[in-house]
Amino acid sequence: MKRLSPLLPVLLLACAWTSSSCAPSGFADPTLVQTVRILASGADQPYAAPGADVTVQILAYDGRKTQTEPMTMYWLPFVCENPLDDAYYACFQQFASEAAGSYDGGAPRGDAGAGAGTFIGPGGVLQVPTGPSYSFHMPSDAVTSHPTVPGTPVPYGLAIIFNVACAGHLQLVPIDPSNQNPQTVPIGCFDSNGNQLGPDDWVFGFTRIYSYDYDPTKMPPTGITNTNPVISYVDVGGKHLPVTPQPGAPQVYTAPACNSGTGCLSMPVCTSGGSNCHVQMGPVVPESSWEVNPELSDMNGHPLHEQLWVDFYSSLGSVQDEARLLYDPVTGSVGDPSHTDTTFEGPSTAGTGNVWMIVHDSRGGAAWVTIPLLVH
Amino acid sequence: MPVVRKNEGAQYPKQALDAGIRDLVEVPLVLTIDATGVVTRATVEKPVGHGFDEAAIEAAQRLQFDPATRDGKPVAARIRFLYRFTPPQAVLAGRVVTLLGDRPIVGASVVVRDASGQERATTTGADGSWRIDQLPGGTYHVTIGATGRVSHEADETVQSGEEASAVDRLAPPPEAAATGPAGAKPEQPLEEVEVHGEKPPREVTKRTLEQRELSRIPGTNGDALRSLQNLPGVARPPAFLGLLIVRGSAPADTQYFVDGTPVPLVYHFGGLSSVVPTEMISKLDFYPGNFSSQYGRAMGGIVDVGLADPKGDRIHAMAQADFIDARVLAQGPIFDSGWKFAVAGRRSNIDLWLSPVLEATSAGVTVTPVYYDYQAVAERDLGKRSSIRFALFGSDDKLDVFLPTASASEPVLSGTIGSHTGFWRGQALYRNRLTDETELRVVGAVGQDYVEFNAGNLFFDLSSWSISSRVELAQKLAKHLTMNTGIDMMYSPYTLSAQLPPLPKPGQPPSGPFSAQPPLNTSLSGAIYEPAFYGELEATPWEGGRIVSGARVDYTKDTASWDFSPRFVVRQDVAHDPRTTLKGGAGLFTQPPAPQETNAVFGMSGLHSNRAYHYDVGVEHEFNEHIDASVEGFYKQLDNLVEAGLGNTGTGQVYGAETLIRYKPDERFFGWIAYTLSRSVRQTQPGAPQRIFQFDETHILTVLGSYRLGRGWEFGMRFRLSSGYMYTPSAYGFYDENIGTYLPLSSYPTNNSRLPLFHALDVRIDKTWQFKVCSTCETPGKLALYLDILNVYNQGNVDGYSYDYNFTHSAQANDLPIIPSLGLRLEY
Repeated sequence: MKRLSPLLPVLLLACAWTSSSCAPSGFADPTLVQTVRILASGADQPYAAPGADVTVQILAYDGRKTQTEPMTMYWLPFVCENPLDDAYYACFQQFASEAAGSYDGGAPRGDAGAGAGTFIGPGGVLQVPTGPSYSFHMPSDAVTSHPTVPGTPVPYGLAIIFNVACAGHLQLVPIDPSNQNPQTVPIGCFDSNGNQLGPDDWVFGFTRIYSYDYDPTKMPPTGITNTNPVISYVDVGGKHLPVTPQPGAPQVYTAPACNSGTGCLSMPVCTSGGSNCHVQMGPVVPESSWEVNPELSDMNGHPLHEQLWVDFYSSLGSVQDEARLLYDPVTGSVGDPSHTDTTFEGPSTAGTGNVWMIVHDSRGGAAWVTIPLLVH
Repeated sequence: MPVVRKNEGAQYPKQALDAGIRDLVEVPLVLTIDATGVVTRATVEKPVGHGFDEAAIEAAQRLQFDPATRDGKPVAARIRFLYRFTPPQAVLAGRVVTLLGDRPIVGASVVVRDASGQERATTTGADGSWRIDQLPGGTYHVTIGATGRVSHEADETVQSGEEASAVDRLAPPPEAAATGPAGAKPEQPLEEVEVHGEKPPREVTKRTLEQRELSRIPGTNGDALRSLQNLPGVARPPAFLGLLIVRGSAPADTQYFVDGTPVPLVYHFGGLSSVVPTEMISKLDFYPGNFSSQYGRAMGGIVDVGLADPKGDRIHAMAQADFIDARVLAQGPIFDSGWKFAVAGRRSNIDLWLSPVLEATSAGVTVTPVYYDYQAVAERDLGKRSSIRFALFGSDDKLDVFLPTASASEPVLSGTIGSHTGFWRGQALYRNRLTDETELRVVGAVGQDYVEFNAGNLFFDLSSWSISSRVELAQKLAKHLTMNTGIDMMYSPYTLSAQLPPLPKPGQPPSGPFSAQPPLNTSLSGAIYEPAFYGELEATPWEGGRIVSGARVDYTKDTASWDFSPRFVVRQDVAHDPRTTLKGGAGLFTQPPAPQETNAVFGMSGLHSNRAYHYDVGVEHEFNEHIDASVEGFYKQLDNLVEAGLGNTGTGQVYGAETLIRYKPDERFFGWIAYTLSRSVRQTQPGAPQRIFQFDETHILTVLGSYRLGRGWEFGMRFRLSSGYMYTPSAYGFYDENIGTYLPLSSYPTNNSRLPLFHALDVRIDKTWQFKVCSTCETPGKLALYLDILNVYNQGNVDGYSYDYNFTHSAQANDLPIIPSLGLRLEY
């Protein structure tokens, strides 16, 4: 075939190579949480059937040393349904319409559910839901209203939920009419003095929830579903650190607190060159979480599984790897914890903090564990 | 009966010569002669045309006769008279000079042998010139020899009434070359490889690089195809991307051929070397624009690599190795069968040192990059006028990576990642000079292309057969008019299996990491069928002038559409000695949509071919035998460009000027200065903002030279200065919670900022020794050691920017640092 080009593989490999190994030094450690950060979100139903009620949990943390105003988790009260080309930024136009309708006292559109309504207050201040979770109703036409995408084995719909971690309040910002950039967001985070805050003080996040037809009442169930990964325990230097799912939010796990009988992640202050500085750690995820992905198959037509990986963060010390692969979609488990753990280096000063491990699957599923850290 | 008293004869008519007639022609006349012996009337009894009749009558009217008599008295008479037109004789002439320096060789022997074996001989005069006239038109074998020089043989064809002239440069015996003492003038046998900027007479301009230049340009590792990147109009490619960016066109807009057979790529991965080694290349035609109608399906440039004819005198061998790769070559006659062969192969060495280094330093990362290429040629002459050649060539690049550390921003790019690309072709090439005026060239090839890639749940697997053929007939219609016609067929059945994320929309920010989007899947088989027909007329109606007008008709099965592409080129010498030539051209060039663009999943239906109008004007000037210069201005209007998801909505313009000042190789030095000033812009659709093309480089300056120091030492330098590429700056943006990564706020429109100026100095040092292979061997072996150092002063050229995790800080991502490459070459 003509114009056969190795460019795509080369670019992808270069991208992979650059992102994993050649990142320039001198940048802030992305795993060390010292600003306002969103670390993860997870829906109780990573794949939600049309018409289902979905609750999204958020993991956010305020790592600022000086906190003039507390961080608040805001949720934009609209469901962006099937944006053009599935692009998150195509929702901003929907949001602008919602905001304009809200200004005019208009009714919320569609069956977006919780929070929709008048949310623009005086001065353009957003009066929107806050808190660690947000519930919404997956539109009943989510799948049927999604344009047919050739090459997609199973029809799907998409809902995008936007949230903002802000150490202040949210406010509409005027948009230059000549600005054609589709990524332009008409929202800013402001402190009580009216100053617009920067990257250390706010994060504009979003989560996608895909919708597939699924009927569990039939035997066997028809359609496609997905469940969040399960974290069996956390390996810390070869020892099991038990974790517990949070009631009502099974994708959110907690490790024992430092004052509990089983003990938290505790380690001495790291002295220069000391052997006590490092510990291997990582989540252990059972193979049952490595679900078959019925939408995809490999080159030979065999069904593929999900890909599972873990992101690491800490508020003290440092983590060697941003992310480690747990399950490859083709070859499966990467191995026992010795192959998937990362190295945590403790801080040189005493204190308390957290280590976070967020397990993702490649279909929007997530589970995380917050591990209290005591450095003595 | 009248008796001829004076006959001045008749000139062989020009009209007949122009029509290519060279035969003995007789014209029967009926003459009326009066009593004084004067021809009062002449009529042609049996006309033969082509100007012979008129010439015979004109000549007859100048005839003088002693009149016929009757009874002793002169009387008028009517007689039949036959005029014979003998074709004018041909002349072979020439000049014999030294290979380097063009010094005349006095007393050289010149032997001219015709087809029957009859020989005529002469020797050269004080100025090295020789001349043999009174030859019938035909093909002659010319042998030139001189004491202390390697003799030279060649076939020359000359028409009746014409004079063929040639300059022959005789080399000294090989032992006198390469290792001569300092101050002497060492000479290398001239093995010429041509790189044509544009090849006359069918294109606008021509540039020729010799073998020494191709193998000695610093920073290229002696790779002929990488030398293309030093010519005017060719942009500097980004590091590790083997791309050819010609006059502001996209890399995919340039087509590659090996002896007229299309091949999918010319560079191995990383662009470190090309898929055909320099030693296997006899010529390299490069057309940056306004190329001949024989080429189509491309709207950028054309690269046509000519495989070298195997040497037929004896067995030759070569081996070479450096940090990049190792290669071997053998060629020579196949016993006394009349066949000659050449076989060559190359394997990369990168995996041998890169894999251990990575395994020792990168915590389980494994990389095994390996590439191969191979060529085999068998050739035989079939008489004096025809030859046949079979060739097998191919390339294979394989890269496997295992990344246990997931990419936080693109998790799909972790674990096992691999790519495998390559092609092979089996080719037959037949050439036959059917007559002095007619030449036939037929090339057919069968082969396979393959591209495989896998990363996570994504994969791409394309396998296709490539069946191509080209039949070209060159017919001289008249002395000043030649017609070239041809058929160019391509048929390519394929199977494709792919699972990839949706392609980004042109000019729009990405909608997120690949990992966050449901991949699209396609599995299909089909066939690309693209026949084409072309024709050209080359006219040289007056001295120094040449006009080439042609047209091409292409059919594309994918789009079920026809494309008609007229083209026109004119050249005119306005001064001689030194020569100055004005030139210009205009043409329409079409390029079918790429297969993925018409694919039902990744592309769309209802597309047409991309289209480009090329306009060139320029001037060439030769200052002396070593220095010449050229300046060309070009403008390309692009429209009907296929834009993903939109259709044929894209447009663009490319305009600029390029200049080349060149010192051709002499016994010591070669070098050139090439400078290009250009601008390339695109518009996705009407109303969309116009943006500068990603690979646009406003200024491209290349200065290079190489000098022979003597005693086998040679030192060369190359300096490059060019504008940076366009890029899209990123800023703090959004957090993708599904993947756990920040996404940038990309500035808009895309590619609206330019990277800093690029500059780098490359150096190459060669040292060659000669040694005697055996006591009876006439030709010595050669051992060469070379050091090619890229970016000598380790300039930190910016190839892009890297950003921290939330795009609030950036750092330069640098181009290649200083890279020395030490190589060894053994040749016999």
